Amino acid sequence: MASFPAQAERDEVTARWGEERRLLAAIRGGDRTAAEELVERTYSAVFASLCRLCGDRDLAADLTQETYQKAWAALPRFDGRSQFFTWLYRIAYTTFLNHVRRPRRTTSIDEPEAEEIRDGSRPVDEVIEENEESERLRAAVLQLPEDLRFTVTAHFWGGLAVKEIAGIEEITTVAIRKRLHRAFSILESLLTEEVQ
Amino acid sequence: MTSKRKAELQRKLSMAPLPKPPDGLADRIKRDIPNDLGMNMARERERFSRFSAMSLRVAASVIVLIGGAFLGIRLLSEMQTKNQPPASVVSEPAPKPAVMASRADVEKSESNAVAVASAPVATQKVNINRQEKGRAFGGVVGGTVGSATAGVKTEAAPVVAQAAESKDDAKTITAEAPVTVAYGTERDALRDKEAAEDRATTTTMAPAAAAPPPPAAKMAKSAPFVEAITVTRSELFGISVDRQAFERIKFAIEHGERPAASSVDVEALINYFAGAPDRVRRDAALDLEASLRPVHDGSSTALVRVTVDTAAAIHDATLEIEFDPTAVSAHHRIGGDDVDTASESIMQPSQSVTALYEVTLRPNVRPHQSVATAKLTYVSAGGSEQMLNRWVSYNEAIGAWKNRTRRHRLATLGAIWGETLRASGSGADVALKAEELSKQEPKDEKAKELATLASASSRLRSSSPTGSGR
Repeated sequence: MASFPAQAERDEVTARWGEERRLLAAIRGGDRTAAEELVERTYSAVFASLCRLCGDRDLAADLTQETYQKAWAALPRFDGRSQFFTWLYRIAYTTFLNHVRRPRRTTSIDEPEAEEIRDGSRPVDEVIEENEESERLRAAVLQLPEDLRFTVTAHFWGGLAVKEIAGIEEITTVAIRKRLHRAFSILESLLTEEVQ
Repeated sequence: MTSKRKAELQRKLSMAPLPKPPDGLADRIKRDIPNDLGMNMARERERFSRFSAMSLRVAASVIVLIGGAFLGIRLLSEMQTKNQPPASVVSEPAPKPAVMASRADVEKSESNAVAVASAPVATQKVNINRQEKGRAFGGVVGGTVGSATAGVKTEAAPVVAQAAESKDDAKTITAEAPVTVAYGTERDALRDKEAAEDRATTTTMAPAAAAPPPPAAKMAKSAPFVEAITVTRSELFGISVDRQAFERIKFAIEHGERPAASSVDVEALINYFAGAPDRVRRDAALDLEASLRPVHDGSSTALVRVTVDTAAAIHDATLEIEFDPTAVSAHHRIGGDDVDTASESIMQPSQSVTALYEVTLRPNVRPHQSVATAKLTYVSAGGSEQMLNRWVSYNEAIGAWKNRTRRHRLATLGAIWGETLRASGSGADVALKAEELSKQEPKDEKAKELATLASASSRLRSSSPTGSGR
């Protein structure tokens, strides 16, 4: 099985489990520095997850900011039963869903981003093709039913372990694995349809 | 889906570009960190504890409310249960003021005394008359005796009074009564009661008494404790199947007290002793059976039993009972109002209801002539409309009681015992018959129970006052 790029971030978060508790206790005591440190440790992973979900860097940045605003407000209700990042990911995902469902009042007049194309080490057409493929995959993932979509995005794009997702969803790890299996089947058929 | 394809999909999902956060995003997020984080926590904790306290208070209120309501209902039902056995005892103090008032009325005017059925003075008068006139006149007295126990006025009373005023009139009425059944001198009161009910339901017998409702219904309207029983009793097709009625009577007899005549629910007793069948093959069963009375007195009076049993739930059930006028001169439902058609919106599984009719048969009827027809229509649990028809012939109706089913024999004995209790009769013959029945079938607990209670109640008659003026 291929290694996940998000794995490193997840490991990092997991490794800092004990540290996270200390920071949370400090935040509860009113320590602003502890809150800033927690942001430093988690915001890039949150941003990455959101960026994969929405496919727009600026939007992902806005949604990340909104996620933290919600997190500060909801922090007193965080019971510490899950990892802080797991909890934060759930907020980020909900924030994304709310954004998707929100009626659009503005239309972007910006040009489509071409940031990734600036990588000079690879041929431009290869990068474009890869981007198109990843966009197709993202679109297919977003077409999945809600429960499967959350499971797939949380696992692959949020970097959450199956056990953690099972904890959030309050179901067994076996059920999560079944969800992933079903999601793969649907994704394959969606991607095949698109190619045809 | 192949494992290769699955692995490829996993790789694609995992290898999605990992974008770097834009510069300044961390600062933007940090700027949003509230300054009063700690205070927020405290506020939130306070808010949470307030919310919890409020929730607890609401939950406690709801629990107290539900608990209170439950306790209230429980207490009410217990009070009712406690009140009911005393209500069935003759020495009930409640009716006394009514009796006293009636006595006062009687003393005021002789003509008023004639109109007041509950006055012991009037009852005594009539009893004397009965002694003078013998059994034939006793049939008229019954209406007075039955009413006297409840201590209320009845519409039938004037008829009785008129009968008391004129011996000739009284004799005429008694002679015309087609349903005059007697098993012995000690059962005069029962016969009186039947005659009074017949007057209330059969226009051919006594036109003056035909219009008013039966005395039992009148008593229920006038006496509060009887009304309470009427409200709480459970019925099917308008027939009382209240098991508590039997328990109350049993309770009173076992405690050495004779149940008050007005509190005896004869229909409920019929249903208690008829009981349920061993099994019902279909969703519902209709049973029609007839025989002469358990103690045959030579009269042409038969008892027709109609029973409905359910094995499964049925809906929109209608029960129709029809008596052939060419074979039957008069009929009435024992212990209840004479209704030809009754409906029940739903009957649960394993329910049974029995009605018992007393019919006066005409002479010179062909043996296979139909006496009664019963029809049960219902919608089964499966939604299909069903109809059951049963009929009983003249030959069967004049058949011996001892050849009938145990259920029929128990139901009829229960009915006669109930009527005996209502009429303050002895019930010794019922006890005898029940004893015979229990000897035939030693495992029959209900027959034993009936024999024991009927025997006990017959002894109570002589040892304790009944309050009926005797």
